[in-house]
Amino acid sequence: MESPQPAPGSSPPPSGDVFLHYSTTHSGRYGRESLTIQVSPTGRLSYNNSSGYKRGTPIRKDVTLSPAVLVELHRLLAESGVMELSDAAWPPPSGVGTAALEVVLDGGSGGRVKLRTETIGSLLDVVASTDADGLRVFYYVVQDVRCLIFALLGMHYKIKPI
Amino acid sequence: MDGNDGGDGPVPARSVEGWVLFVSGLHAEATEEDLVDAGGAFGPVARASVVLDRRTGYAKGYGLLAFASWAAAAAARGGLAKDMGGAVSAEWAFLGGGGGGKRRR
Repeated sequence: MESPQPAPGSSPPPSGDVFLHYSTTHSGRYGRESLTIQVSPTGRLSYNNSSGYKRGTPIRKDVTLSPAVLVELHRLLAESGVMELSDAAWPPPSGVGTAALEVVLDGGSGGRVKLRTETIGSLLDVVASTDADGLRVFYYVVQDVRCLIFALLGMHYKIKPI
Repeated sequence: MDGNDGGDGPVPARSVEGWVLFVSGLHAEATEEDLVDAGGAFGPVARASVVLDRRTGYAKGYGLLAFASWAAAAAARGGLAKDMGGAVSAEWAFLGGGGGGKRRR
């Protein structure tokens, strides 16, 4: 059983020190729906999904992610450009819904960002906004984070999220 | 309890279909079939998934590989990187609670 041992003089092992909190809410015909994903630097993944759809009961899952997964999440976030974003010019949360993302890398030394805007329905909403480039980065990083988390949850619990 | 690899390595958590490996460093054109083929050398693969980049449509670089058998999963964890070559590494995706709380790094 070998563990990845960096050769002398090579770059340090990639960091997996990441805190992430993502939430999105939506109020509509199924009441107030919300989805929350939180990953702590210890690897704790908490997932919450509540919806009034078909009188569904809230889904709550907690599982510990391995350092390998945290490294991948850290890399995904650091490379996405999300750490350089500001929500100053973004549409504020509306009555319909909110999307919020908070990320802290390496306890803050790798960057810290807190973003809030109205729920993005499609890329068309992004293109029409004043900070289209920033919102596009936000839109894709959220998609990528959700894909990672749903792939993991799907494998662990056999949940098939929509 | 077979959830221990006997060493000082992390203790994985059992998933609904068995033991899940997180495979990173995959080529941009890697497919689920590639993962099933590579994993199949160690035992029957219960499930495999390669996640795509939402913007480019290419593989994001990581995937998941589940084995029903502990022995197959443990063997793949040790050998998959060599078989697939390049920058590929295979590690447990989920860690167990209880004593698994202490982490280095």
